[in-house]
Amino acid sequence: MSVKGMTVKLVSLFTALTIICFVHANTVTADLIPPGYHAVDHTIVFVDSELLKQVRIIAAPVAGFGGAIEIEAGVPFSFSSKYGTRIYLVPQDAILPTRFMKPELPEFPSCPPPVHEINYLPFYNPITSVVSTCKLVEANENKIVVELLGSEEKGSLGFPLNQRFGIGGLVLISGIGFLGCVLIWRNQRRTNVATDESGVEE
Amino acid sequence: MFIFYLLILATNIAIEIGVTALIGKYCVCQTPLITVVLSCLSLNLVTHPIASLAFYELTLPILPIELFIFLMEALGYKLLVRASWRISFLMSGLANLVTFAVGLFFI
Repeated sequence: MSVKGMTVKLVSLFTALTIICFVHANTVTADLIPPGYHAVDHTIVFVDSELLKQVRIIAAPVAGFGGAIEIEAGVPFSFSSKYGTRIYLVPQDAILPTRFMKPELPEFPSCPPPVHEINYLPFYNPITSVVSTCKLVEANENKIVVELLGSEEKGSLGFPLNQRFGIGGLVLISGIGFLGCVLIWRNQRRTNVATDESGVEE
Repeated sequence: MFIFYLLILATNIAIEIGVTALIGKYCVCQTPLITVVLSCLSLNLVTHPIASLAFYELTLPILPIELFIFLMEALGYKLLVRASWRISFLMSGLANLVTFAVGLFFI
């Protein structure tokens, strides 16, 4: 097969592959994902605390058809900045509203989540899920305060992405690679010289 | 975290070696295949950490980084494999295109 023929076939194959990837990136989601972006699953998880054990808090959107979610320590839950999810302090015996029947919720003390939802990211961004860790700092009949402790971003394989690789390790790997390149280059040069000399002798 | 990086690096190198070995076998007749494979391994050991530092630490956009890596690796194949410029660009371009596409699939 000629180089040109092989190039055309391989480029066609990988162009098709890239198009499939673009289509694959726009997976089904409740919100509109613009072309060239992919959906991100952003959840919040509360750390365990004495205060959280004493009170009952829920997360519910102010708009849309989503219902209320009972918040438990260590259990991640989805939220929506678009539909205005708020965190409410409710009495222990309160009956949770379902879907859009939630007129009584504004009576309870509430606050927005301390983090803005990441709904989608550019297709080349490796982040597919974000888990934001929060802590209930204050909860009384007048107000509720939630603090953001941090966010962990993960790729599709479940690797955390916002942690540093360690520059020392990367420099070491690069150095080994560079050494390898130099050795191959020297070896190639010697081989060429030897070939040239044997050519001259002949 | 570093072990995750090594896993990604190993996957990247395995894919690029496959592509360059294929091109090397059919297009670079005068260079032994082992030299093509070792060149690919060494070049990726140099370029992948640089790309990772630029993307994850300096948070530069991926496309200029990929373009830079493509040019660096093409130069590398030209010097190490002693292939023509055309074959060097073909090796670098296809290998990086495949790994980029595979990366997109995992997203």
